[in-house]
This record gives sequence, C-alpha cells and structure tokens, in this order.
Amino acid sequence: MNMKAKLFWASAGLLGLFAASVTAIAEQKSELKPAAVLSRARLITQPQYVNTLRGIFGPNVKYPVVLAPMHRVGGLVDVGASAAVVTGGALERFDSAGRTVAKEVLDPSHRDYIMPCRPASEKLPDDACARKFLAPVGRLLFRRALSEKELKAYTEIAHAAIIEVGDFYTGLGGTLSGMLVAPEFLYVTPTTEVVRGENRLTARSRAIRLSMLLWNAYPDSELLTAAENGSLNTDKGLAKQVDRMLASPRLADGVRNFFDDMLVFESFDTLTKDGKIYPAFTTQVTTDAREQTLRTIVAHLVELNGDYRDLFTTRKTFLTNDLAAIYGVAINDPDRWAPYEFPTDSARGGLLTQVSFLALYSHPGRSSPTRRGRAIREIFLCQKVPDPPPNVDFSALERPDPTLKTARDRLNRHSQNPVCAGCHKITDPIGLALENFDGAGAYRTDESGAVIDASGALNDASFKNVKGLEEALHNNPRTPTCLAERMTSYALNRPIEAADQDLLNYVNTKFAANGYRVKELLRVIATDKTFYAVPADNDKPTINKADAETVTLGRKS
Amino acid sequence: MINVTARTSPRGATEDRGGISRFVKALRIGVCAAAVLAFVGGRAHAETIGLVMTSWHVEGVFTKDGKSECPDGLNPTLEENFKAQFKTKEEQDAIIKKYGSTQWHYRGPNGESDNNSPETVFDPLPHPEPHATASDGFNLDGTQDGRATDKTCKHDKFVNASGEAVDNQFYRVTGCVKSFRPQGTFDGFITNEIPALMVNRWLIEIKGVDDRMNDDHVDVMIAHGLDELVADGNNGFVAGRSQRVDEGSASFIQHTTGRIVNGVFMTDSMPEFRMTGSGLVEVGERRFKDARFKLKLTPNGATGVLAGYGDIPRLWRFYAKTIGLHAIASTVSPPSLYHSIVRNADGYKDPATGQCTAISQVYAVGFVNANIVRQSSSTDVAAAISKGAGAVR
Repeated sequence: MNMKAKLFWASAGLLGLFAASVTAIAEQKSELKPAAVLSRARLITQPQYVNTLRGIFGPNVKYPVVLAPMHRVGGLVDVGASAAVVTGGALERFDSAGRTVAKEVLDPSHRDYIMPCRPASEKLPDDACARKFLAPVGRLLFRRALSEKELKAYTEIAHAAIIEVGDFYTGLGGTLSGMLVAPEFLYVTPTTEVVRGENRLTARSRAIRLSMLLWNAYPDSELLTAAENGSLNTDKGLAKQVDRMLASPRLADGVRNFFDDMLVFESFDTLTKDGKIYPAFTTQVTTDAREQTLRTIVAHLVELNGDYRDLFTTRKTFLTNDLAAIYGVAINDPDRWAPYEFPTDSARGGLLTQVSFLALYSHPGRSSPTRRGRAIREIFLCQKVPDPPPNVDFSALERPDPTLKTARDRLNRHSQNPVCAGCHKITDPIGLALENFDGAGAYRTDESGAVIDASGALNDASFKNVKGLEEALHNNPRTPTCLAERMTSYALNRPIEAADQDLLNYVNTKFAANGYRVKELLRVIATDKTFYAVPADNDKPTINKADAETVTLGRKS
Repeated sequence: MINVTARTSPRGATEDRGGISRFVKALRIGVCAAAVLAFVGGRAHAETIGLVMTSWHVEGVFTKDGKSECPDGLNPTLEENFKAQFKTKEEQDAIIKKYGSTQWHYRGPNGESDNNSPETVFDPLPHPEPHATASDGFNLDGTQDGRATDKTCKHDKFVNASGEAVDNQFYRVTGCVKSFRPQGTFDGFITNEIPALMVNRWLIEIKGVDDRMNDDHVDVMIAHGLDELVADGNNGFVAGRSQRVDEGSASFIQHTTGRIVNGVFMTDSMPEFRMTGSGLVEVGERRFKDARFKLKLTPNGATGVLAGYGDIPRLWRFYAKTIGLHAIASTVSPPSLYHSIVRNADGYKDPATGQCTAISQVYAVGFVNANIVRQSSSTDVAAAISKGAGAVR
C-alpha cells in the first residue's frame, strides 16, 4: 500500500462521514414519502452488525468489531438498542469498525471473490465496476435499493478518492467505510404505509423485523426481494420466508445471540477470578465457558429441536481442554471442541451446572448462593429481586466468623438481620443447591472441611441437591413462559407490558402445544400478525400507548 | 471413568455452519460408545492418577550463594580454561586463527573439539565439586557406604531426609556448576522449555489405585504426551487438563509397576527408561538404567525425584548436544564436566577395565494432575464420531 493510501485509511473517517451524508441528502430529495414512521428507531447492536456483514461478505472476512455497550432494558440489551444514542465515543467505534471491515473486505485476500468485477486498472477509477459493487452492497446495508442519485453520489465519491490515493480498492474501501457509518445503516426505523385504509408496516420493515428476530441481522437479498415484490405481505409468502429462514444455518446465529443477551453474557467481558484461589480459571476458560453454554443451547434447541425445559437437565454438552480441567474430566481430543456427555451419576446437568453460570454468578474468590439464586429468578423466571439496601452489613459474609465454615452457615448468620432476611429468602434456598460448585464452577463436596448441605427449595418444591433444583426449574410452569415473554419482547423490540397479556397467553399456549420447541416459538411469533402490527395512532409516539394497542390487532387463529 | 469424546474437525465455529448437526450426531454415537466402554471397562472402584511433568532440576543441596556446599567456589568457565591452557595472546590467537573459531573449543592436541571429543582435552583449572552430603534419591547400588562391588565403583553416599543412604554422583559433577544451579542458564532454560517445547511433555499414569495413601500394587505407564501445559493464575500450571499419549512414539510408552506408601508413590526399578528432553533449546534423548520415580502425591499433582544410572557415552551425547554446544553462554567447560562424570561414575563397572561406565543421577521433578487420554483405547469410536466439532481457537 502506498503512502497516500495509508494516509487515506487514516483519514477515511472524514470521508465516511461525508459519504454518510449522501444518503440523508438523497433521501430528502426522494419522492418516496412514507405514510408514517413508527416512533421507535433502534441502533444496530454488535451481534447484528457482525451477523449482517458476515451475511454480505462471508465468513472468511474478519470482523474485529467492538462497539459501544448498550443499556439492558427489560432483561435484554437488544431491547435497550431502541433507547441507545450514538455518542461521540460510540460514533468513533462505529467509524473504526467501518474502516477495519472495509479494509478487510477489499484486502487482496478477499476482494477477488467479493468483488463482482475487476477494475480496468487498479490505480485508476472504474465507475462501472464501482457501481457493480456499491449497488448490491448498498441495498443490503440499507435494506433497500439505492436510488440512482445515491448510487451516483457514492460512485463519484469513490471516483474522487481513487484519484486522490491512486488505488482503486483503497478509494472504494473508503466509500464502503462511509456507508458503514451512515445513519441508514446504523439505525433501523420502522416505516408504515396505508393500504385499503389499514395502516401497516411496509414490506421492507416487515422483512427487517423478521430477519432481526430469526437471524439477528438485516435481511438477505432473497428476503428483500420478497419485500420488494410484495410477496412478503401475503400469508403464503411470509410462511415461505419463515420456513426458509428457520431452516437456514443463520438461525443458529439468531438463537445464539438471543441467549447470549438473555443470559447477560456480556458480563464475561469483565469477569475476573482470584488466581490464587482459582488458578485454573484462566482467560481462556472465561471465553470457553461462554461458548460452551451457547453451543449447548444451539445444539439442543436448533439442531435437536429439543424441549427448552430440558436445557436445565441435559447432560450433553461440548468441552475444550481448558474447560475439562475445571470439570475434572478427560476429553479425547484436547485440541478442539468436543461433544461430551456427563455420566448419569454426575452432579452436572443443565445450564445451571455449567461453568458459565456458576462462575458468572459468584464472587471473584468464593461462590455466591445469593447471586446464583437471584440470577435464576431474574433470568429464567422473569422475576425481579430487589437490590440490597445501601446500608446493609455484609460483615458476616466478607469477614466471617471462622467457625462458620460453609456459605449456608454464613448466610444464616447474615440473614439474622431482618432487613436482609426478606430478600435472602427468595434467593438463597435456590442458590444453596449449587453449593457443591465453587466460585469457578469446580465440583466440591466440602467447604473448609465441613460437608456441604446442598438442599434447598424453589417456591413449593424442596430438594436435597442440585438435581432437585434442575428438576424443579425444568418443571416450573414459569420457566417456559418466561422464555416466551423474553422472546416476544425481543421480537417486538420493547419491554413487555401489562397490556400484552393476551398476546403472551396466545404465544404461551402455542409454545406449550409445540412441546416447548423454540423453533416453533419463533415460527408462531414470526407468522403472527401482531408481530407486524402498527399502532392505530402511531403518529403520536407514546410508547406505552402504542405498545398496548399492538395486542388489539388481529392474529391468525 | 472412561471418557469417550470426538476427534473433531479443524474448522472454526463461525465458519462451520453445518457443524452443529454433526456435533449432535457425534454426541449420540459418543453416548452409546461411552456406555459400551464403561460396561467393558477396567477395575471397579480403582482410581487412576494422571500426571504431567512441569519441572526438572538436578537434585541436591543448592544454597543461595553456594558457599556452604561449594567451599572451593563455583566452576571456571570455558574462556578461563582456554586462557589458562594457552597463556599468551599469541598462542590464543594462533589457535583461533588455525581452526577458524572464536569459541575456544578446538583445543585438543590435534585440534579436536573439547565438546565432541572431551576425552582429548584436560582443563588446567580444577573442577569444584560439592561437599554437601544430603540428597534425595534411591539407594541404587544397594550398599550403605558406597563401597566398590562387582558391579559398582567406590563412591561416597548421600543421605536423604529419611536417613537412608542414596546415590547421586551426578550432583558431584554439577552441584558447583553455575549453569546447573537454580537460576543458572541451563537450569533456567529447561524450566522455560518444559512448557514451551513438546519434547518435554512427559506423562505418568498410575492405574488401579485403591487407596491414594497406601496401595501395595499399582500399574504404571510412562509416556510422551502431545498437549500443551497452560500457565495458571498462581505461577504454576493448570491441573486436570487432558493430555493425549503420543501413540506414534510407541517405544517411549513404558510400563512398570509400583506402590504407594504413606502418600508417596514409587515405581519399581525399570531396567531401562527412555525419555526425551531439552536444554538451551536443543533436544535429545535421556536414558536411565535401573530407573525409579519417587513422588509425593498432592491434591494437585506430585513432587519428587527420578533416579537411575546414566550410561556415560549416551549421557554425554545429551549434554554435549545441549549445554556443551552453548558452553560459552552457559559458562561451562565441556572437558571439566566430562572428566568429572567419568571420575564420579559409580555404576555398571566394566569387568575388564574396572572402570564404571555409568553414573547415578537424581533429578527433582514436579507434576500436575492430568487426565491422560489413550487414543488407541477408543480409536474406533473416535473415528465414528469424528465429524463436526469446530476448532477451539
């Protein structure tokens, strides 16, 4: 790469912002006027960003993207994306990501198969070739065909940049990086149209909503085509696309990202353990623990099409050598991920006994029945556990009496304070059942020489050990309805509210009837009219009102 | 417990969109296979202890400054011996000019290398030997006082912590050599190379352990391993990782028997024990006659010693290839080491010459627990379920 090209990449952000403005200007001049715009614009999340670009440019391009974190709303970061704003710092990360990806895409190792044409000269502009690249890519990034004005503007930018740097691919890459920071790419804003007196989502917005639900990415070309030719507005056309997308390997991305979000796995980014206490809990274990659970979920729910509730009891999983060391088991091929099934007499079974859950909901140097119990209630049962009062006395836990050998002993002492006892009653009887696993997730039978009592209770279900907890959670009627609630919220991209009860009842009934298969849950939501419904008065952007009205619209019986 | 899992394909997770289905199929087959193997498996109630080697040092007394065990000082270097052998600048320059080397090695009577033909060079400066009497190890010659026998040569015995007479003549050779001492160049390189170089991956599997404290008979396999050591968060190595036996190096898969006494595991004597090793990033083979391990079992691994006789020509081949090749950097003079080995040799006496042909050696070794995996025991199953899993990283 010549010096000009290097300088170009360094300053590509400026070009990017300029290129980004093209869309806005062109849109202002467009004759296409949406009948209405829904109130809620959502910012693209990091998984959506990567999934979308991987769908466009393929899996061999690297996407080392680190976007700004977003707030969790209603138990999901994805829902928080609707309230996210692009601060200066966040824009900087988008800009950096866009430049990195553009450079990768047009790198000699990738461009030969990504580019639909080769320029006449690599040092000179070739507007025809640039258009052949920018038109389909722009359509997929912006979820609509670029107008002729837009395409012309982007081609002119590329032309000027190529002359400036003397390199076709560098100039084109700068233009692509600009498209990657365009608001049209970063934000999804639902649009509506009035057809025969009915206000409805445009087919393009239907496609986006569907794709975000199933693949956690922007639509692919086939789905956009279905939107463009109107077939997505028909029941048959919609069903065809849903079938296709549920059968696609990209469904695994969507399911994986949903559960990564629901399980609060972004916490792994900051998880640390005391190396003196848990020396085997290396950085690699942190990475692998997250991946293990996601692989387990995808295999069980997507490939096996298993009952969601069985995720809390299944002994089948996948391990690496680093994880196997924590689990205390051998794997035959330590170089790779390997399928593994814990023996029937193992204490391991289900997500609760995986290192990810056990380690994430512990302290750096000790387990935490309270954190674990709270996580079970909040994540898997959709129940809110209050935060501890600000003046709580933690001394019984942090500077314990040495005669209190086990966590149960210490929590019993701590809970003698009636201020603490109230909340601990709803967390600790659950979390104490996991005390046979230390703060790193390794199995143990005793703590400080005292045999661990892992009995507990979840509401009315009492149990002697973790197996009982697994069964109790599996059989708890709130377990599947909580997932359905989360999934519905994820689909609608907003928190569930009281007015959504009819919708939830419908989804839950279907979920149960389909044997708690998540693929079927997704199908029910994706083919239901409510999923695409538009509030009657959506020009009045009152979120709660709009949300409440979605359930009044019809659905398939 | 028998674990049967898949040998997997090297594809990455994100690239392997069809892989999960193969995972699932593999899992199904693997489960069936595990059940079958569990049924036909080994001894009931007996435990298997797996260990992977993490440290290797010459055994003996090493105080910080060395003054107590080495009152005669530490070893002179190759340069010092060269300059003592060729006293004038003209002589030194003439040797270097003649043999085209600036490494002072070609100082035999006919220009022989002092490393490749150490028997031809006699260093003028004395090679100090330690005066310490303590060492861990085994009583290899069976005597209490080190007297000469039909098979051994006269030598002084060391005493271990239990008051037993033991043999460790190699400590006499190396105890006052800076490079072999803790933090010395050679010792330091080996410490770093054990995790870094796979040639140092050595596994011990103790099978049929009925009681970790006392068991009068256990079966032992010692073999070369194939998998990495991973540093833990406590300046050690992660215990409990899976380690595959290097089935391709069948001649290094060695079997013996042993016992556990008060938590200390000991092998029976192995007529010949082979292992690979490294030093200063050079690799070679070590062989021990009448080799025995003695290891104190701990919750996370084991520490103890490996002892046995080293046949001098083979022993020298290893050290010439490692420390001798880098004699200047490691501040040793090869002939001094070699002649000290010959002088202190105490085993395998040649009846014709009366000269002992091997020297007793004791190395302090450390291990962490490992799950040792034999590919051959489940090859068919592994092949059957080998599809689908993505690469770890």
